[in-house]
Amino acid sequence: MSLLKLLKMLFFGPRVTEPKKSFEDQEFEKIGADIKKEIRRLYGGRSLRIRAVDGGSTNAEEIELTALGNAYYDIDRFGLSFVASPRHADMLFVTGPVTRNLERAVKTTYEAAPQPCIVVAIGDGACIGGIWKDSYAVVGAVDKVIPVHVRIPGDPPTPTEILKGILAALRSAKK
Amino acid sequence: MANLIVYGIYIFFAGMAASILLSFLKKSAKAGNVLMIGSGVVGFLASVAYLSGFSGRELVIFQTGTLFGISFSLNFLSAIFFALVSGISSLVLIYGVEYLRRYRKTYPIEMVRFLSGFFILGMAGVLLAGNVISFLLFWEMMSVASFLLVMSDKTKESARAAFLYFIMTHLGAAAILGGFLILGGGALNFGLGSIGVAAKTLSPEMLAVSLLLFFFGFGSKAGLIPFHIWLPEAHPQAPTNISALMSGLMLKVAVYGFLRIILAISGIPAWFAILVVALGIVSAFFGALHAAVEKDIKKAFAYSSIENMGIIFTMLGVALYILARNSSHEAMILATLLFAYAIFHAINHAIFKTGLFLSSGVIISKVHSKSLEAMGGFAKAMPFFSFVFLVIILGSAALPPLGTFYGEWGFIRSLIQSIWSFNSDAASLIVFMMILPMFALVSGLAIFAMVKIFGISMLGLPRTHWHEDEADKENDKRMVAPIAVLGGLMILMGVFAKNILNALTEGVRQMSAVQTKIAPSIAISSLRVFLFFVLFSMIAVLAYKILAGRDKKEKEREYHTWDCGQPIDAGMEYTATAFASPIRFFFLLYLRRFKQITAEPIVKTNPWFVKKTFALEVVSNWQARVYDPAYKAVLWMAKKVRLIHTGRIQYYLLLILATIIITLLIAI
Repeated sequence: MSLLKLLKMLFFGPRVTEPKKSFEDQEFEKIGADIKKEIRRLYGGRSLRIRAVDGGSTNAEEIELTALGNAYYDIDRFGLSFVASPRHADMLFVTGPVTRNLERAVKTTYEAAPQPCIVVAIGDGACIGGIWKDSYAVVGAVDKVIPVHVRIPGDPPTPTEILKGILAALRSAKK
Repeated sequence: MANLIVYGIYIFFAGMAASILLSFLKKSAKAGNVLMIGSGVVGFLASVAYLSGFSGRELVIFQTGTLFGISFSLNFLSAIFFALVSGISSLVLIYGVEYLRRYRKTYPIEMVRFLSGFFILGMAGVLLAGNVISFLLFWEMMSVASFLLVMSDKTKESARAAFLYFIMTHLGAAAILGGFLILGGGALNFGLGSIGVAAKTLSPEMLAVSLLLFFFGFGSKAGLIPFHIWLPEAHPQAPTNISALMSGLMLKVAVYGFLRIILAISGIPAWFAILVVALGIVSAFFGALHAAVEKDIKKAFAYSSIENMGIIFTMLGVALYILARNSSHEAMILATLLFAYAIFHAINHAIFKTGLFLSSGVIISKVHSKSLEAMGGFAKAMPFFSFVFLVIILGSAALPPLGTFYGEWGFIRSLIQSIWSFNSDAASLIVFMMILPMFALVSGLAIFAMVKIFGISMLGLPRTHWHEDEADKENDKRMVAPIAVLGGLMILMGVFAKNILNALTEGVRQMSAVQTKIAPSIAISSLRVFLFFVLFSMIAVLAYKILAGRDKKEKEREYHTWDCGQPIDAGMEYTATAFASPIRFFFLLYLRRFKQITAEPIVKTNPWFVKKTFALEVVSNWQARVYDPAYKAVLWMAKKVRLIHTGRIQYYLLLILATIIITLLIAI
């Protein structure tokens, strides 16, 4: 019986895939194109390497960062990519209020990255401390540990907002 | 000149004796020590003067008709070893000033100085002895003084090690006494120079017995397997400066004794030579193996001593074998060469083993543990010391351009030459072919052991916090300076290896019972190797400077190794146990290993949170398979003998009567 049901669903069920046109985000595409231009200006055709550091976040920001790499957003096409070591990074993403246990990790990651390095604080926790502000367990916002160039508020910020932040950071950066 | 040398030796003996007396008194201990060092230097200079103007003549220093005809004389062999003993022991004494000051609470300083005076005097006396009585007398002085020195920290383990040493060394001394008694036909007041003549009068069987007794006596003192059991116990338990004296010099005295015997006696049978080779190569192998797996630094050095003694005895054994098998002129030249290599290796070993033990004393005074697992980080904290230690370690691993390399290299060359050059029979071929791969294995294991010891103790981060006060830190150079001198000697031995070897072969040629007409030539050009080495290292340094300078022009910022945000600490370092693990694994059949992992719950009701402890112990198979059964057998026999000990005097009288009757029956 269930087999019949399955066959029925497969052949006569509704279509679950959508046409590409229906979810094209014009704003996102535009920001992406601008970022690509900026990166070309700053790095002469090379891509921008990002190292993400978790400073004790709730993982909400991490999920958004992961989304940046999926088929929908696919930021690799704009010349952005995540790397596994601060030694290769041009830009640092720091998420979450910096907890005492991860303070040294955030600090040494910044020190180990080649200069100049753009630091982006992502999420409310990273910008001001979020709901953990003034807790004994956290040091506080990222700028209490390392210098921060751009803050992207939101809990968590959407991918588009993150890209906007990156664009702002790149615009302000001098060659 | 000859008079001056004799006076120099007199000054040495008088100075030593006076300083022993002085160091017994608390007030003049310092003056006594200075006097001891000074007389050591005078003795060294005198023997070097004798060697430099060597004419092949024995120099009689002291002779008397009374007192059992005690006499002292200096010949080529004893002059070499005397120079070693007097020179190196004065370095060790200089080191001892600071070392003993640091350990004034552990060791009674006056007592250690007093006894080490006796110890050095005993060794020097053995080397200069001209007849058997004085030889045995000073041998005993050396043994007893070192026995008392081993237990100078008065702990239970030290006393145990010391008594083990005492028993083994006295068995050995008894064997030597027996050997001399057989040689002298029951008399002991004959000169060491007439051993060769005495041996000619003996029947082959008696000669064999006396040779075996000598081999046991000197071999047990030199720590050959299976008579080695005391060595890894006693050497590490002694204060470090005494360990250096024991390992660096006392073992050489045993080599000297054995050399005196075998060089004087002609017609040594081939089976004896094979026995020497077999025990030599077995000692070399097991010594190197234990040195590679041992994690107690002083024990590892003690095992390395066994290995080097094994190498020296292998060289001597091969020389004896060639002499016994082949009487051609070529064979004699080869044997002479091999004796020279053995003496050369003994000199090198005296230098580097003393250096190694002294260095271990510096390390232990910082980390307060003998275990390698507590060391590390010296290369950054004490760069000069670790460089000196590196030179000595390279010397002990027998790498060019240091002296040890030429001894071992020359030995391998002569082995190969002896396989090729004269048509040897199948038996000799088998013997040589067995030695070659074993020797290669030993060299490899020795390098492994030394790399382990240097890497774990010097490199990386310190594994323990050093508790040192500023005064000790200031005085470190007083301990490092004598070691640096030894390191310099190591390099000199390498640079002038060819000249020294040539002089040695010439001396051995004149000493030995079988004389060759032409002096053999050494086909090693150590000076050229050294020049190449210096040239290459200079090129390497220059290239580095140039290349590094070119890189510096670009923007560069120095930062420590990327640690993924977690600090790197000593707990992440390679341990000595883990480093030696492949070797332990390969030789599991031989090594007895006890591994124990215990998990103990921290809270009794919760089985999930446990405290785990890991214990690994590697023990010698010889102890379990050879010594323990022997010990049990002796105890069993003692129990049986006790059956006739009833405690009644009448019974004992009856026993005495029975003994007399049986003796008379046998005598008739």
